[in-house]
Amino acid sequence: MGKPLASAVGVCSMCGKPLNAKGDCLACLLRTGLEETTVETKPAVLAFGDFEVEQHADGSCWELGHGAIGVTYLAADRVLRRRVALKVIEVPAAARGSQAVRDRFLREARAAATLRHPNVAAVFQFGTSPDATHCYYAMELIEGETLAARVRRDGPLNAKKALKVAIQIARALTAAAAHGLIHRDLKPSNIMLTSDSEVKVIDFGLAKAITDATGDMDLTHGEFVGTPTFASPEQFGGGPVDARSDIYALGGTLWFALTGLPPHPGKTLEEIRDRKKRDGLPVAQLIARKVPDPLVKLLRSTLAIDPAKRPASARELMEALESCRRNLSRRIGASSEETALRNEAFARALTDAKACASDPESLQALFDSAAKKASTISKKPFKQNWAYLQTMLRLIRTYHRGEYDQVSDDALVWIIAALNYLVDPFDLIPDTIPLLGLVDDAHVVELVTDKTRRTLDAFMAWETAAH
Amino acid sequence: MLAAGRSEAEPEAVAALAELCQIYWAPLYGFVRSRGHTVHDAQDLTQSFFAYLLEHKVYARVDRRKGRFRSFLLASLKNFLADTADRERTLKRGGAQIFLPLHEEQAQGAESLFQTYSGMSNEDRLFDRSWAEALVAAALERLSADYKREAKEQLFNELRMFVAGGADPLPSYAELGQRLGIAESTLRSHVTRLRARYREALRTEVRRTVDTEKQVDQELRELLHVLTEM
Repeated sequence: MGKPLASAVGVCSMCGKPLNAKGDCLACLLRTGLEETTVETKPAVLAFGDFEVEQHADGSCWELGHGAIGVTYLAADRVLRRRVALKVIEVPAAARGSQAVRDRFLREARAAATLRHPNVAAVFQFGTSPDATHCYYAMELIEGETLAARVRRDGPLNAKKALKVAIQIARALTAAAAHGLIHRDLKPSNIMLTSDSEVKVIDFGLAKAITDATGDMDLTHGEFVGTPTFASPEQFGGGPVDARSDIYALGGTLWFALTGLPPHPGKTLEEIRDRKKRDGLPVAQLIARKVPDPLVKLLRSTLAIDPAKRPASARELMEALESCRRNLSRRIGASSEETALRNEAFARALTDAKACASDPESLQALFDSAAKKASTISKKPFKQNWAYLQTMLRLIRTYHRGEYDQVSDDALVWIIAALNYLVDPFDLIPDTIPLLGLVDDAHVVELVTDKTRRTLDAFMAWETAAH
Repeated sequence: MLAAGRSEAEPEAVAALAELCQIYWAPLYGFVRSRGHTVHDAQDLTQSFFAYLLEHKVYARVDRRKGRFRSFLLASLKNFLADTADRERTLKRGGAQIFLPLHEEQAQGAESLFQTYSGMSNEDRLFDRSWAEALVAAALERLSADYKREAKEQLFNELRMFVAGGADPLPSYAELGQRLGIAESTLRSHVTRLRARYREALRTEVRRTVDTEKQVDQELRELLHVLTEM
């Protein structure tokens, strides 16, 4: 017999056995190996009302999304035998006993359930857990991805695509207004894009109905629940919130779709709030993306601090957006002939570039040749892009001289991407032509588009200063 | 008896045995130390023992029905140590050509483990206790690596206490969920899943040293019994 065992590291709080030198309980660790698998390896099914949360093969809950105020699960409707998206929200402790909060949630839920529109994810059913700790509602399951995810993956949308999305959101808001509903948390992650590029707005009114009731939007009394990035200025001050807040949020969402950035980014709630009040809109971002003037003007009014200066209704905004789209279409139609020639020249240049990607020696000649071909077409449709095309050619020359600090195949890839981007800002080149040609990995695509955007921004600033 | 010993002279079987020898190096080293050998002698003897096992395919001569790998190793080690003189002659003749690498960290860990349990009166119990340590360490390491591969290392570290226990009382799911920014229901499911995965990792480790699921249970009960006896 000798010294006591491991007495210095204490005993296990669960079983009272001495812990080992690492502070672990060997007894607990061994006992777990003897637990019954039937109970432990298959976690209890999470269920709310008629809905059972689906599980992955390993037994974990199948989450579709996760936000600050709740989790959205893939769930099965046990009665109607269909799959739904089930949003589960933990009711703040302060609101659990409140009849007013319950009434408000039910009122909003009933209104949302009556809203049926092609651009709104339908709400099927709603309820609260027996212990009143959670509210939930079942929504139409949308196959697709959010606008936020799309932009993160592929970069900003061109004006034509962004307008198509914004118009559908405005239609959804118009339909909601007819039911007296406002969204209150419109943002890119609440916009679903289906595989057919149709828009479905999710989470109408319901999530915020619960959290707002507890005063969470009031900065002086609690934390801002959800993301403040796209919220209207009046939502920060606890002022009256009406349909014009959704209009502001739609403006921010459209801005994000066009630039990949929110108009007023920030790391803290206070920073975002102050920027919204203090800073003007960074319109240079829109100009850098060649957003047409009428749309820039519309975004300015939509994102006005004073709600009275915004479009008065979702319908008015929708009509203004449609007008922008018509102008854009006319502009595109006028240059369709030149576009066809340009497409052909560019496609050939891209194909050739891919063929000799490993041969930097011939690249300059290749791009000079592409530029020469392009120059045989009327420069008029290139009027805005020509300077950037020249800039990119200068960049390629620098690359060949070994002066560029990212001399790599990766650099070559994004140069090609940039060339594509600047030649075709309105996405006129048919989708059958691979945009990035050399890359197919989503992560690389994201990297490339991000680099492309930043490079172009930098060169545009340089161009502006130089000329 | 042992996955590694089921087929003679197969390279995979030898590799599997070599891996097991690495995992259970510390308990054997501790046993040798408890016999009064110095640190360096114990290291040499333990290394020589494993080399002897691999070279002479001792495992292949053992009837798989007669016992578990743990008992087999201990019995073999006892025989090996009892015949130290022969072992030394063998070495001088140029035997023990199979070399198992010994890392300094591994040697220090084994010595530290020996020091922790050197007060135990029964050397067999010391061996069993050290074996249990090596077993759960291997299971935890395997599980940790899996979580790391899934980019969930932080989650594993945060929830490890639900498997490994500790001096501090476990936090409530609500409290921990709030700190980690995870819904309570999600956290519960993470913990349940972690326990299930650890259970499987542990049983997989044991299964490498016994034949049947029933023996896995027996082995775990026996090791648990050693701990509860103390």
